[in-house]
Amino acid sequence: MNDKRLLIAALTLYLGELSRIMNGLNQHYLKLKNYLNSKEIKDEATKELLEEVIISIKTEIDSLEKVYKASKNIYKRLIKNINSPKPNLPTISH
Amino acid sequence: MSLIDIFNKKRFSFRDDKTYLIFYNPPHVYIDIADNLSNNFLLTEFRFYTFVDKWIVEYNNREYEVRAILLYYGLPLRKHKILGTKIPNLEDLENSSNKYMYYVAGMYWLLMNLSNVKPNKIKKLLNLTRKVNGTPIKVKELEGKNLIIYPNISDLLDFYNLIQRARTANIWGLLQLGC
Repeated sequence: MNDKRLLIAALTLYLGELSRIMNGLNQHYLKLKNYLNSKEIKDEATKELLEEVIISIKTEIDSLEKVYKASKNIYKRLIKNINSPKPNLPTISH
Repeated sequence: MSLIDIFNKKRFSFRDDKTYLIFYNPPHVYIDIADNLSNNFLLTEFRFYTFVDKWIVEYNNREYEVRAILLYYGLPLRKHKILGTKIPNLEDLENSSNKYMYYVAGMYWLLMNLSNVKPNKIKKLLNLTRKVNGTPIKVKELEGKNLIIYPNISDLLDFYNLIQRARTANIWGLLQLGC
């Protein structure tokens, strides 16, 4: 396997892993947001603690999203590059 | 009371130079030494020293004041609120409108703040939500409180795994695993 194909294989796995992590964290994020918005929480301490956790999870998701987008751009370029016909290399004649 | 409880009860003694762990899984309360082999990870890896408070325990019809870390279903709690911080504490828990949600928020806060802790140790901490060992005891400050909840350990473990994967995901590492 040449370097480009190896990188494409690695990026495919990496993008899949990032996507699974983001989806998982997003589920926890939404669950905590629901807690925060529920009428059952009336005290400030729980609200403040939940808000801090929610902000931290959001920061984590945002950071993963940036890495995901950047990695996907590289992946797209590599795919485009690998599918385009190879330019004719100049031959050396003796 | 089981045979193990009776055995522990006979052996247990309090010392001023020791730090203890109070396992509070209402309505059960147990006490154990913090720096023994099975509990030491809570001090060395989790650095729960910051949660040490003085508690009054009743044992064999005698009262003792001990330096201890209170673990409420595995969540360390300070006795009182510390102004300017969001450190989980018994005061806020008692005043919360929903004890379960305060506990969940506290556990997520704890798991977010932990780093470089091995997953098996996290599992060990989360197992404290279900089963604890030690000597049964009464804690004066906890008497008459109604703080029973039913924590969901798998949700917390899933969250911790995701956070760790988010922080360690590595493109070449994944390729090695894939191959």
